[in-house]
Amino acid sequence: MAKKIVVDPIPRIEGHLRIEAKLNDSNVIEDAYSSGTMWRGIEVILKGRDPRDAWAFTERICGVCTTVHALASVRCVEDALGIDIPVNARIIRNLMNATQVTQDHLVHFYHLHALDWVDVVSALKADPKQTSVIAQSISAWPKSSPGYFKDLQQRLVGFVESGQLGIFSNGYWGHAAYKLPPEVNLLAVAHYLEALDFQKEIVKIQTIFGGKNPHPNYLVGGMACAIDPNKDTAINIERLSMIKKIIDDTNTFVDQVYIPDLIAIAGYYKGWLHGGGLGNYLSYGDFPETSLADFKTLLWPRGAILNKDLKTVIDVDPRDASQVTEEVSHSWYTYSNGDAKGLHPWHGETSPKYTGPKPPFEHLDTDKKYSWLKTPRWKNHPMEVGPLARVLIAYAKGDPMIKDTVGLVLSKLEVGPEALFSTLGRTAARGIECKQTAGFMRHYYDQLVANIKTGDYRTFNSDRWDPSTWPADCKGFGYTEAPRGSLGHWIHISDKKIKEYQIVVPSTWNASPRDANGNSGAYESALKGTPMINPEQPLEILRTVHSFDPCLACASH
Amino acid sequence: MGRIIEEIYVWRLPVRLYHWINALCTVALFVTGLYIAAPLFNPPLGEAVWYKGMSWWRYLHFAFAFIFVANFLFRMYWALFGGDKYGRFGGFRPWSPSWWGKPFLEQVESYLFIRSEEPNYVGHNPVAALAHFLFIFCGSSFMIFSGLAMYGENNPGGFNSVWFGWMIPLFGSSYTLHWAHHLMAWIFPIYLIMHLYAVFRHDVVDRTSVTSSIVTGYKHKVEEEPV
Amino acid sequence: MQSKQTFADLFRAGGVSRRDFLKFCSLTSVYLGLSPSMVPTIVDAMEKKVRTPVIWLHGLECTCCSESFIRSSHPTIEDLLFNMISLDYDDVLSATAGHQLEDVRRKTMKDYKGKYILAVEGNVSTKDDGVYCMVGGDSFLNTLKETAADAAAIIAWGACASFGCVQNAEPNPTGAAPISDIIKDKPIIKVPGCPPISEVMTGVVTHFHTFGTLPDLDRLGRPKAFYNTRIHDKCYRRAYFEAGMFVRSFDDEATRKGWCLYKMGCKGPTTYNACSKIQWNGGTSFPIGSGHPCIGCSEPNFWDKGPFYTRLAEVPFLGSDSNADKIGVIAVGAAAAGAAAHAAVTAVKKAKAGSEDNDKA
Ligand code: HEM
Ligand code: HEM
Ligand code: NFV
Ligand code: SF4
Ligand code: SF4
Ligand code: F3S
Ligand SMILES: [Mg+2]
Repeated sequence: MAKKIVVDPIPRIEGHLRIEAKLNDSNVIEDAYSSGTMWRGIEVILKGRDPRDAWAFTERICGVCTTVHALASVRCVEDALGIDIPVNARIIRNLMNATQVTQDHLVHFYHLHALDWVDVVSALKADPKQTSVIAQSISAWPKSSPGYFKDLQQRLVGFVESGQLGIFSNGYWGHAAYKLPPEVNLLAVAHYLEALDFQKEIVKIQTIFGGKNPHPNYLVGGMACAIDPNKDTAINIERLSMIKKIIDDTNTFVDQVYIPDLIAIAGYYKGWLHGGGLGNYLSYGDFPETSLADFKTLLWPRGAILNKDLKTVIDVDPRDASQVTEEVSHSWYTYSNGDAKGLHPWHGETSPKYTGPKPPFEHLDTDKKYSWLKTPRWKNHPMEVGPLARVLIAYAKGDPMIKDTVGLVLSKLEVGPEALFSTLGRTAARGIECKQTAGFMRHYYDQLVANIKTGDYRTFNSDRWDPSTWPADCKGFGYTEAPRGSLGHWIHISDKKIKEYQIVVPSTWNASPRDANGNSGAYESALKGTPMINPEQPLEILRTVHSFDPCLACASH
Repeated sequence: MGRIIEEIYVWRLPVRLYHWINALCTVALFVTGLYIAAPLFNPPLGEAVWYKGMSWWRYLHFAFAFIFVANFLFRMYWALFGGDKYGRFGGFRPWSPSWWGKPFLEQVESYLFIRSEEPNYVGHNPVAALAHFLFIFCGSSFMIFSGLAMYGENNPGGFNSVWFGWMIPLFGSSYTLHWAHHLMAWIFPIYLIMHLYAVFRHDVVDRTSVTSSIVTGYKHKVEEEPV
Repeated sequence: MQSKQTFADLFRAGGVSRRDFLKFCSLTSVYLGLSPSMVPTIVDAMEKKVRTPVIWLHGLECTCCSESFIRSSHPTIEDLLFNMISLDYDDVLSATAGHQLEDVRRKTMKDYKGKYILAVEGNVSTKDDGVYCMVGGDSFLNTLKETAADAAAIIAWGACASFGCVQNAEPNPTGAAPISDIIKDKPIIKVPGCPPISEVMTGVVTHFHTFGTLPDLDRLGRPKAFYNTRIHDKCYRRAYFEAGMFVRSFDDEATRKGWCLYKMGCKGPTTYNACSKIQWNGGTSFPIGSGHPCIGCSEPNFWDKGPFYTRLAEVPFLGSDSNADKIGVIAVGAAAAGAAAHAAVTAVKKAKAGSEDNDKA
């Protein structure tokens, strides 16, 4: 007899996600249902507003991947109004985006994901000297003396002994799925705290250009921050030097802490290759070297892979009404022409209609509608988006940096490329990508300095600022590759106001409920087939779900 | 012009002074207020501390505001303790149903041309009294309370912030209060148009020389002219 | 809630002698497989103050308040978590999940009845039984009420929990409401901002930890230490404001010179926050410092005061978008037209009356 277990709430994610899973008699997951249990109605709220304000509303969809919705939104409005942004603005936006991905991935690995692999309490038993030896053998990171780890361990003991375990309360400590020796656990805890301290530095780049983080300011037509190396009130050499230092420190941290930790920890888990899932991958691409429309110059390529076939990368066009669609056959919404037929976002509708059980409830009726997420599909295929999708597409397209880094990681772990199609592969891809975007940050810093040197200080194009210059009716598409995957905003501006605004988010792709044909979304499919040691302590579910870095506020918006 | 048959001293000096100070302040506050909301002029290039492109306008607004407040308070005093027959708000009782009765209706009917007889009042007619109450008394009170609350924002915990600061939570936020103060500013030009029209019209229709009365203080009753 | 009991206090209250207490500590160390040298540390920890237990709930929100919280430069988040508070329940950082996590919440509510702080990020969905925000199979509305019942005080993080943020903007499809609309019988500290500045957030907690009292609040329930004055009162561009030197288009010469952003719609003159004083991300910059007007993100209902780039909010009037000045001009026009029409009728009547008189004569 199959039993159904529920994991809700799921912490170390953004927003409210609920997983219901059916287990067979040997505690292997037979089927899984992913439900987003919150909805705010941002698409509804945007209607009738000034399109130049939309970035601020959409940015508040999520504070974890802050900026990405603002970026997609200004790109979308600029696309609709036909605005070309100055070179500096393009570089600054790219730099802010690279900063976002780097910081988000780092926080995800240490603070949202690590505790699925790292047993904090086990670290109390570690020999700090041994930890020091391990640390020094894998990295040149200077904080690695026996005394450093001993001191930390003592603080940890004090913490545990206080009887107030705080965020570590009631954790699955001692669970048989934890495989790290105490010494490595101690190392990971040390870096958990170091990363917690360091992540706040990275985002200062966004503060310099956007005034704050989370939620830096964007501007339709460019950026509001002024550049002038000879003024004390604009981006000058002091600001640039601060950016440069942060970029250097970030690269050091990623190279000397994140990547070595990732490889060290993954080494103990390479037997746990569950969680592959769909095998379909999608990326819109991002990081334009010229204009956004010219997607051949994107540093992150655009494309799709079906059925793990790395030999074929299929072209993708999100403007094409037959490619990207959203349906609501299992979502708490209705469409005026039937819920089963997908709509392209330019024809999208957002009409909520809750039909689930009245709270409090035990189970959702998963045969019917069971989520606040819509179900996006690409040419009717469920797709996985995110770091793994992007790395695989770049790998398949022969991107040299990705090929090298993926090769390096695989050889260090002594596994083949097929190991990438897994929970672990997703987690590794995120690390690989973080190293890449830390590199992008350098690249854009150099580009920015080079452009300023030519005497070009422009950051804003005012040609279409005044609404009287706008067409009476126009449509636009804006996209970005957010930390969690492909993000698209579609706008319809009519009579100077937003007539319709549709957002299809990375976590909507990944966490979507099934479609009218019964096909599962990426989370649901990745959970299938996973054996659980103790269904009471759903560590395995957390691992796989966390490997996607869920963001449910994004997903349902 | 017909023969003057009666001359009545209606508007004593304090009322006339009040009137013209009030008229001046209202116009000045409206103009400076709108300038504060949308400053137009560019100062010549130079050091910021040399110019008062904005602070001067704000300073004027506040200066007129305090004269306006003092003048308003004075008029209230005069109405209550001035012992001035026409300067009191004596007959004005809008909370009592009887006030809305015959005299008021007759005046309204006359303005609506339903009635050919123009009722004649030496002081304020009931419709004018109501207009003064709504536009001048309530309108000015609102402008004063909201204005002082905003003024108090400069010094939290100070006199104005303690005594008038409650306007901010009442309106929800500082911005909403600014907005309401700005919107209500418009009642003054509206009032001015209706007021001037009413004054001039009464002059023409009743021939009581109302217009000059607010300067000289005297209203005249004129004999019907033979045509 | 100020009298934080230590574990030593608890033992003493339970009639346990100092000797037994020390014995308990060494037993604990054995039980945890620690060396005897650790015993003094354990004794020390047990005799220290109990960290204030905090339950941090998330409603309809974007988690950027949590993100801001972990950006704090002083105190650091580590210092906070290790030395000041015990963050027992938090959707962002908690290790455990599902019913084990809910158990932690219930245990803290029971063990520290009337002593824990409830921190809330986000709005409460009040429409349709709260189905727009459900956690652990129940509505957030129910969970909030349940958890607030025994809290010592509530911290409402961010514009969401304090006043109602983006999801509460027109037409508020989920009936999103701020905490103070739901919980009426507890002290609520409102820490608005979208998000609030990290050092402001940790500052509120540290104030409580250091002085043992809740900070003084202003009329809107905000700590005076951070929300006493407006952005404008301490903005470094204020001299340009007074001089009338304004940015008139983004990226003009005035922008590079750092002139005042008032004409670009800056809401600094009506926004209470600490941005222009302590700035963001360890004092790196703040919105105006990076050339963008303040959008008033710590003020009630700032989302519906747009468009952001004008000073005068748009409001619907006579079926279309308008603002205070447009309404005013229309009303003045109507008054003038009314007067003119009335004058015309008066003139006609008078002429008629005149000719009738003539006829009679
Ligand atoms: C903004 C400008 C003005 C305001 C706010 C204003 C306001 C007032 C007020 C409040 C009264 C009642 C006096 C009292 O009982 O204290 C009044 C009476 C009067 N005002 Fe004005 N006034 C303005 C401009 C003028 C001007 C420009 C004229 C003449 C050309 C004028 C002529 C009169 C006359 C004749 C009366 C007496 C009418 C009556 O009520 O019987 N006013 N005005
Ligand atoms: C007839 C009466 C008044 C009129 C027509 C008037 C008009 C205005 C207008 C249009 C504004 C601009 C509002 C905005 O868009 O922010 C303003 C601002 C202001 N007014 Fe008045 N006002 C009047 C009386 C007063 C009074 C009695 C005070 C008391 C001190 C006052 C104090 C202020 C203050 C403090 C401001 C804000 C200035 C700033 O933001 O820099 N006003 N007024
Ligand atoms: N899913 C998602 Fe986001 C991201 N990355 C947005 O587009 O997290 Ni909040
Ligand atoms: S207040 Fe703003 S920043 Fe904080 S959770 Fe709400 S939307 Fe996000
Ligand atoms: S930039 Fe904004 S806050 Fe600063 S002085 Fe100008 S109006 Fe005030
Ligand atoms: S927009 Fe918000 S961050 Fe500060 S400067 Fe204004 S309150
Ligand atoms: Mg959508």
